[in-house]
Amino acid sequence: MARRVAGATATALVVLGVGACGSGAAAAGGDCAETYEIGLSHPVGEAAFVKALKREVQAQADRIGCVEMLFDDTQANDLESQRNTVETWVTQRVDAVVVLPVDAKALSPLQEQAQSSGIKWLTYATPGEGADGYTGFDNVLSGDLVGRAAADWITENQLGGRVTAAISSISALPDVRGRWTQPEQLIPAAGVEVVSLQDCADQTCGLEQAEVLLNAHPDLRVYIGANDDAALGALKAFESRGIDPGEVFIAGQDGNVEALKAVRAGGAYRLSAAIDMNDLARAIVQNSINAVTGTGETETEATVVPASLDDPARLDALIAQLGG
Amino acid sequence: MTEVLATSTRPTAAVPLRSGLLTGIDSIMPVATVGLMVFFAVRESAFLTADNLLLVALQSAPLMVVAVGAALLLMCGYIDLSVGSVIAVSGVCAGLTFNAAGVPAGVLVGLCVGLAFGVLNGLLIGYLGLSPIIVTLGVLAAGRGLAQVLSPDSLYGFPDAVLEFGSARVLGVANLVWIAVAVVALGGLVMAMLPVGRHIVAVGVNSRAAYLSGIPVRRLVFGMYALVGLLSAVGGLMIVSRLDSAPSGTLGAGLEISVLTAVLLGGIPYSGGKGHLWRVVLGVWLMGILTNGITLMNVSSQLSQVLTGLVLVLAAALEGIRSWLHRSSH
Repeated sequence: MARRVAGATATALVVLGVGACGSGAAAAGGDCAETYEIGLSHPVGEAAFVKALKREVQAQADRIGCVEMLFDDTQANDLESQRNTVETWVTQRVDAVVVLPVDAKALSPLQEQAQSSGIKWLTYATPGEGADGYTGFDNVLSGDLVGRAAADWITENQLGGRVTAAISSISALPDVRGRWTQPEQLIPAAGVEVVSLQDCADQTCGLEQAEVLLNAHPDLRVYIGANDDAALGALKAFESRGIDPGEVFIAGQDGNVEALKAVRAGGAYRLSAAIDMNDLARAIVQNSINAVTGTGETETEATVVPASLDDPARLDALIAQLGG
Repeated sequence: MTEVLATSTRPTAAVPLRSGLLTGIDSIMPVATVGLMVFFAVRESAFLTADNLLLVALQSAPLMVVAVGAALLLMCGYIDLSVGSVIAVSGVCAGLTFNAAGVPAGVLVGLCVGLAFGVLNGLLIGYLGLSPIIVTLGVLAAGRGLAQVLSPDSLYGFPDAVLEFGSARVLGVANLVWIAVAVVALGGLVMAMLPVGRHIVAVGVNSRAAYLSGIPVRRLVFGMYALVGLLSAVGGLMIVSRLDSAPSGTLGAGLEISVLTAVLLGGIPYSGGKGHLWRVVLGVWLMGILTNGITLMNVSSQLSQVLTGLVLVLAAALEGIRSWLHRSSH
């Protein structure tokens, strides 16, 4: 009996183990004179946008060729997990590390160690001190797009002083603060009080936060997510409360496919400040190679565009880009 | 009720003073919870309204369901740290099935997946005697990975019945709250009325003695893990029905910590062998009102973490004092 139990459990473990090992490091082709090993570390690996980004980076690396991508599995801004992964890459002497640090200061000794070993250190999303390159997008522009659109909507509907607004933030990532500081300035300037500015970056949190806020502020009609996941959760709260979507303005940032489809469906989710995923992914790989070879551009910013029903063709193109 | 078993050999002729003292000690956590509610009510007029308190109950419902299972398991002297990932895999599998084969099939698949994970934990821990912490931490990691492999992107756009169930109310109270009430009631019934309730506590007090007295310890532990797996799946389905979405990366993420916190706040020691379900319910409620009150007060993110930590440490300290005074007064 014990042997049978052991056999069954071992089989189950193997199944689970296989499931857990599905990382996307594809080997480069055998025809390469040199293969570049690039590690990409993002602190919020659980976010839908980041998962899509990793897939696209892998696709771009395959397209460019002679590149082996390594991805970490850091989630929920876990600094220790990020540090351990990057430290491993430095130890195995990859050619380049691209990282959005949870805490740039905490990773600076690793940066020194990497660079002194000849490894190129590039940052993602925000420029880094002493880095060999940077691939990002303009978080201030992203926040500006959603904040301005909300302010325009408020003005257009003459809602100044009649409704309230909430904004979510991700304070663990201070380098992207433009996403919430911009709307925090623009919305009050349109005459609407921001009654809540609190951390939230996933759907469950967005739902629960908006539910509580709607209880306390029944006039809440504007919700700006620091990312699309938080805004999607808030959308559910407004829907389940039966509030007329025509009275509500919800916007998120990143341009994940679920959010883009919510915008496409019409209703309360009016805008996502969408990052051009192809552009971003290609730049992550190419900037790293350029840094290693010492040729070409190493600092670029991907385009951030407003994805809304004002431009359905662009919206459809962004959805198609993400395979939606 | 269950503590009675653990203390049944102690003198029963307590003097009125001691009895009064113990009653007072036992009231520490409820009084602290009420105190916190009064604080929030004074600071925020929206806090102490029926709508808001019902909302706290709704938002706490998935945690409550999982915490009941985890509480019974901890009374037995065992721990399950995999619940967050079991929620994710169950929710994702249900989500994949909702669109392919309909809602009943999705619910069934979700429950079966949760049960399967519970059975796996039960086999490894109950029958093979492996470390509960190592095994369930392993399943925590593997489960999250599996959920993300099964669905790299968010699953969404389920049949209307899913969201309708998640947002429907009966007698003004959300369906999900009724599910949590039913699970708590069943858990209470098991502990108070059925022999298995006494067996759970007996195993927690001394598993060797329990075995020698004829209690099937391995089968009981196996069954308890299976139950936690099943209840995790129920919790996962509850969250999915509220979101109308099953994001594999974040569904149930970190819930194992919330469950453990609620159960420990409920006064169940790591070693097991005693505890009351109503105190666990109080622990879940305390965490719910804390999150709710902080959101209402629009406390900054950094400060809210400090406040949450302080309140939880204070609550744990009060519970520790209660346990210590309880022990020393006998």
